[in-house]
Amino acid sequence: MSFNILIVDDSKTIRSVIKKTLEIANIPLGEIHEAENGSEALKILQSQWIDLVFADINMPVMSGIEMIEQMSRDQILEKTPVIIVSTEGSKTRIDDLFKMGVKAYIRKPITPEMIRNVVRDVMGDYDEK
Amino acid sequence: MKNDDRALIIKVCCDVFEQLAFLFAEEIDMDEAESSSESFYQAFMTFTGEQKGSVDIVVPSELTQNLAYNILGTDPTDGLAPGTAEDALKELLNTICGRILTSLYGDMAVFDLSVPQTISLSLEQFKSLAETSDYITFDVESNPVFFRIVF
Repeated sequence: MSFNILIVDDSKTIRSVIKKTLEIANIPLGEIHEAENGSEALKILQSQWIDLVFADINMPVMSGIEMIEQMSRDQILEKTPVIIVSTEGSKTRIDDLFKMGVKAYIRKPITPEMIRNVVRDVMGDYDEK
Repeated sequence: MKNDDRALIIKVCCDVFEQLAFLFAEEIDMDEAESSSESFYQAFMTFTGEQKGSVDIVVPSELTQNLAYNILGTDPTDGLAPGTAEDALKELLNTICGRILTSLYGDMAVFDLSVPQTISLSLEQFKSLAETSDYITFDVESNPVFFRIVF
């Protein structure tokens, strides 16, 4: 079983870090897609099968929150789990994100252990590659 | 700025340099800030919410490259794609800003952070900033770094 992942962040550096951390964490990876903002992410979500989304909140063009709102209005996309990766530390905002349907939140800087734990929490047990 | 807040800001900056970029940072006096670099980057961003203000950080361009290599875990011989070093600096500032605001105002406070921007600075511009008293100065692996938060 492998996961098709979508990484959404306006920072190419962070997208690379998340991708590398997923590999180090031995997550079974299928295709990895990247998007610079929520709008690009929605286009990918509508054309590719994505098992899991890692998304930042603050992005130009379309924020992570706007992207999640759009996903929640789509019968298929609303089921795609989203993990927020952010510098955001506000419990109030994090609680609001969970109410919108976000499955998990991890705070930068991320580690392989954080990624491993959050993927298990969201996707259930899997065989490490 | 209250002494406790200042101490907290310094700790957050040092922690983020270490945890994100694996670089050791310590506070120094402004007049100890010397650099052999000819070019620098300044990254800045704003925040609104419970408080509004801005943060900025000024670093020698060579240090931004080290930041990128360390964050990405790549070898300097691999080179960097254009814009990667500035991108790494923006991400450093973004992380510092988020951590500072949570540390100062607690985890219930809500802030909106702008997307960080960077500009290039010359040595003369760097020296001009060095005369500004509201920066906190760090030595990061023998590189001077200025950090400021303004409310």
